[in-house]
Amino acid sequence: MKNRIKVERAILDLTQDDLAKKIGVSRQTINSIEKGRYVPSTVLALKLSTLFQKPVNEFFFLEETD
Amino acid sequence: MSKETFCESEERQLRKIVNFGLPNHFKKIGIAIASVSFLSIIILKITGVELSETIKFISKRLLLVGLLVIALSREKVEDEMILSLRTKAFTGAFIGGVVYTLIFPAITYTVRVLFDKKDNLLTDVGDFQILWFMLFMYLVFFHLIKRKL
Repeated sequence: MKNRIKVERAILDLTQDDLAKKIGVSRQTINSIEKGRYVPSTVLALKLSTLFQKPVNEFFFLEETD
Repeated sequence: MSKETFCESEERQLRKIVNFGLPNHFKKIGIAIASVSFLSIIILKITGVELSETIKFISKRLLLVGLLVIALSREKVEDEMILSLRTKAFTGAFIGGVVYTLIFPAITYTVRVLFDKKDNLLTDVGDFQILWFMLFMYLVFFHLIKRKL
């Protein structure tokens, strides 16, 4: 699964640490999500959606292999 | 108590058990306990000092307690990714423990046959050995996966 969390974070001018604190996870989790090494739960995806004020499918995308 | 309420309370109890964890500062306490007991076991082995079985027994159990405390201590930020890592590490340690229990007697058998030791050819894995191995494997897996993510 691909994502554009990094871009959305940049739009809001947030560091990984800021974003992590806002949604209650560690900075390492944000880093892993951005690099596509960890797929977050629905709860976390919805928290990101609320923060970015965008639907989940605007920053998470399925790949052909998914 | 209605059926739904009973189910809810049962679920809450189960969630409490599954999500059990010690505060982060317990990790240091666990490391201290495990290190002291591990060193005492090693020193007793090297020096060959004959101490009572009780002291050896206590040292081994303290090592298990130390490792368990480290394993149960929460991270500074215990989020869903850490929980997923814990699950993977527990799975790896459990499978590793079963494989170790199955393979270890075969290895000791082969070594004893090769070195012509005819006594106690088949030895089973002891409770301390398997628990120590599984806890150690859990901690190694957890930190390796965490570093990779």
